[in-house]
Amino acid sequence: MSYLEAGIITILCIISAPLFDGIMRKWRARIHSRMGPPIYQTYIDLFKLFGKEDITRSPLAVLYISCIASATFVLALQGDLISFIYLLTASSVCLVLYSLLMGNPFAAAGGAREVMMFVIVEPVMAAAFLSYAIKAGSFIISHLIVWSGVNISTIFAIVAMFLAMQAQMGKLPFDLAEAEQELIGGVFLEASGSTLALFKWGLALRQFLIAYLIAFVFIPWPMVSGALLFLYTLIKTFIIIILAVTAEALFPRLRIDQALGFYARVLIAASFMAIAFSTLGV
Amino acid sequence: MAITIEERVLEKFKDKAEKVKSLPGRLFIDLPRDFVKEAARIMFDELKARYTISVGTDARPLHSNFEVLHFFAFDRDNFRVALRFLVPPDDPRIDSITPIVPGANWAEREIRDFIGVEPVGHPDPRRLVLPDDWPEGVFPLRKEVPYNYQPPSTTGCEFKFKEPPPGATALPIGPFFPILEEPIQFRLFIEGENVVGADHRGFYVHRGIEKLGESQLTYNQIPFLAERICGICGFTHSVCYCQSVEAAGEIEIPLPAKYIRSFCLEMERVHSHLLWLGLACHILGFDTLFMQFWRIREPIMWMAERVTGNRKNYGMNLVGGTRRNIPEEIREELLRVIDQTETETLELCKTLLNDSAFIARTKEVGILTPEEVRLTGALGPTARASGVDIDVRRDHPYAAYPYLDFEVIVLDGCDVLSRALVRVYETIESLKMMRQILKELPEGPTLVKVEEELPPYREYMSATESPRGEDFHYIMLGENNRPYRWKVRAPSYMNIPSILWMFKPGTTIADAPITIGSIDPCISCTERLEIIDRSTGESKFLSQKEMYEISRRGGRK
Repeated sequence: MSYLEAGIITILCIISAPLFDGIMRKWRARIHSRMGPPIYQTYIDLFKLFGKEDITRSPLAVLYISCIASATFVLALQGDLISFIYLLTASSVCLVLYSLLMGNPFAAAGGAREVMMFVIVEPVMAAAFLSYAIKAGSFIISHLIVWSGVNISTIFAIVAMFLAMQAQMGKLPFDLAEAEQELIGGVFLEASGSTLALFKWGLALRQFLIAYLIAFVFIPWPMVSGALLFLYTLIKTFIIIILAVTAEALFPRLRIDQALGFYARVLIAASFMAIAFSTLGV
Repeated sequence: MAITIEERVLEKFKDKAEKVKSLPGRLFIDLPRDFVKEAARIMFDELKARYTISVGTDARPLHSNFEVLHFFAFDRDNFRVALRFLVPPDDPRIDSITPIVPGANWAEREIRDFIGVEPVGHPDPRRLVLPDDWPEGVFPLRKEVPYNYQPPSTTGCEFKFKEPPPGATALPIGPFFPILEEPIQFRLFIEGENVVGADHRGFYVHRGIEKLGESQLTYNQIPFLAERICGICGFTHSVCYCQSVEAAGEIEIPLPAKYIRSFCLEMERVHSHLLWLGLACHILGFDTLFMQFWRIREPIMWMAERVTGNRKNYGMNLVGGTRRNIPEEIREELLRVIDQTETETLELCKTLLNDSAFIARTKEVGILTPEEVRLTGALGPTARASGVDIDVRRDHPYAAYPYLDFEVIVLDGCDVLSRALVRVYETIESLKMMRQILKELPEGPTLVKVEEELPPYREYMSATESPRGEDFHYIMLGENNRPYRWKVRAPSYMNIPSILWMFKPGTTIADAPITIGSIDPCISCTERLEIIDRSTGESKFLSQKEMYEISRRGGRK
C-alpha cells in the first residue's frame, strides 16, 4: 500500500473516530433505556473543549494522539508489526507520565492502574500477534493478513484479542485507570480544554483503532483489495464496536486485582496456547 | 411474675436517682453529673441497652441549668430510657461517655458545639458541626442566640484533619465526588491501592432546622419543615415529629390516619431502596442496571403523586393525623402499580444477583461485625445485614404496623452484599404491606382537631423505621404554640461513623466508594437552607419569584 493511500486512510480514521464514539454512546444509551445524545455529540464536545481554558497544558497530550495516529498510519500501511505495538504502548506511556506529573493523588492512582493494566494486557495482544507472525514467518502486517487461515492457533489468537480489546479500549469492566466513581476520571482528572480534547480524541481514535485492527488483521475475511477492503473493514469495525459497548453495558467494574487475575488467566489460557499451536503449525 | 425492664433499670439507679419520671414505655431518670460514666457503663455494658443519641438542652430559663440527656433503648421490650444530667452554666463540663460508647462521639461534640457543654476526656475533641470561622463562645442552640445570628466571616482558621500514617498518602473522597450526592468528606490514607486509615468531615451544609423549629415555627408548621430534612426519606421525619408531639400532648389519632402514615412510609421505603439499588450499581460502574432500577422506580413516584399530590414531599401529616384519605376509586390502580413493581423488582434483582462480577465486588467487602454495630450504634439495613435483629416497626410499634403482617429481614453476611440483599427483600415486604393496607384501610375521618394549647414542658421521644434505620425525635413541648426543644436524630447520623470501622485492612480504593455507599448515607438528614454568599458573608433568602428567575436562567450568571 502506498504512503498516499495509507495517509488518506489515517486521516479518514482520525476524522471518523469521534463519530464511532458517538455511535457507542447512542448504543449504550439504548441499552440503558435512555434516548442518548445524537451520534455527532462527540464532535460538539471536542469543539467545545478546544474553546475552553487549558489549565494543565502539556505536550504529552499532543504526543499521545500523535502516537496513536502514527500507529494508525503503520497499520494502514500494513507495515512493521513491532513499530505498531511500540507506538500503541508509547501512547499509554504518555498518558501515565501525564497523570503522574500532575501531582494529584487520584491521577497518580489512575496512572498506577494504567501501568499495571498494560503490563499484563500488552503481552496478551503481543502474543496474539506473535502467533500470526510465527505462521507467516514475518513481522510485516501485510504478510500476516495474506497468511491467515482458520485453524486452532488463529481461533485462540482471536479469542485472546477480543478479551484484550475491552481493556485496550479502556472500557468497562476494565476502565480502571479512569474509573469515574472511584478516581473521578483518574488519568484525565487534571486535563481540561484542548489537552482534554486531545486526550478524548486520542482515546476515541485508540478505541477505533483496536476495533479496526481486529477487523483488519485478525479477521481479514473476505479477502478483497482497494476501496472495497476499506469499506468492508469499516463495517466489521462497526460490528466489533457494537459488541464492545454491549459487553461494557453488561458488566460492573472489576477491582484491579480481579482484572489482573482475569488477564493472567487469559494470557496463559489463550495467548500462550495460540503461540504454542502456531509453533506446532496448526 | 418476671421483673420488667423498668424495675431492673430503677434497681440499678435507686441510690443515685434524684428524680424519676415514668411514662408509658419511657423512663426519665435524673442523675448527678459525676455519675455519668458509671451510668453509661451500667446501661451499655451491663444491661446491654442500645445507645440511641445524646441531646443537650439549654434549660436555663426553666431551672438555670443545661441539660444533657443520654438516650438508650431496649428493643426487645419496647422501652426507652433517658438519663438526664444537669450541668450548671458556670462550670459547663461533663465527663465524656465516648470511651465507653463509641457511638456517642458525634453527639457529644454536637452538644459542645451547640450548647457549650464540654465533654471531658473526649478522644476526638475537634469541632463537628460549626463552620471553621464560627466565633468561639457563641453556642447557637442557647436560647439567647437569635435564629438569624450572622457571625462576621474571618479567614485563617482551618479544620485539622488527622495526619496520615508515615508512608501513606491522603486521598480525599469529597466534599464533592461523583458518587456523593451531597457534600461530605472521607479522607482515605492509602499505600498504593490499599486503605490504611481514614478520617471524616461532614456538616458542610448545616441548616439549623432544629433552631428554626424551636424559635420561629408553630407545631403544625414544623411537619412542613421536617419533611424537608431529607430529600429522600422526608416523610419519616414528619411522621416521627408528629408522633412525638401527639404522644407528649396525649392526642390519640384516628385509625385511618395510622394506616395512611404506614402506607406512605412503605411507599417511601420502596422508592428509597430502588433508588439505592440503582446507585449501588452506578458506584460499581454498572450503569445499565442503574438506569433500569430508576426506570422501575418511576411508577412508585407516580403513585406518590396520585396519593398525595406530590412526587416527593407528601405534605400529608399534621399533628393529630393526616390531611387526606386515599380515595376509593384509585385503589385498584394503585394495586396494579404495586403488582407491576413487584414483578419488575424481582426480575431485575435476579439479574443483579446472577452477575458474578457484582457478587465479586460486594462479597466480604466493608465488613461490620455485630459487636461493632453495637458499639457504633449502626441502624437499619446496615445493622440487619450484620445479624443484629432490630426494626422499630416491630420493636416499638407505631402507626398501623401492629396490624400488618411483615417479616423483618435479617442476614448475617456483615458485608455490602448482605446490605444490598436486605434492601431487596425489604422492598418486597414493603410492597406486600402496601397491598394489605389498601385492602384493609378503614373508613372515617383522618384528623382530630387539636383545640387546646398543648401543655408546656412535657417530653417524649418517638421513633420510626426510615429506609436507612431508626429515625429518632425527642420533643419537649413549650409555650407560644411551639416546641421548647426538638431534637432530630436521623439514622445516617449513627451509620456514617460506622463507615470508618468498615475500612478494615485489605480494603482498596476501589472498595471505598461502594463501602461508603453501602449504608446509603443521607447527608442532608444528618445536617439538618439558607444561601450564604461566601464573598460578602451575607445570608439571603430567595423569594419564589427569584427562584423561578434563577431556574429559568438555567444557572447562568
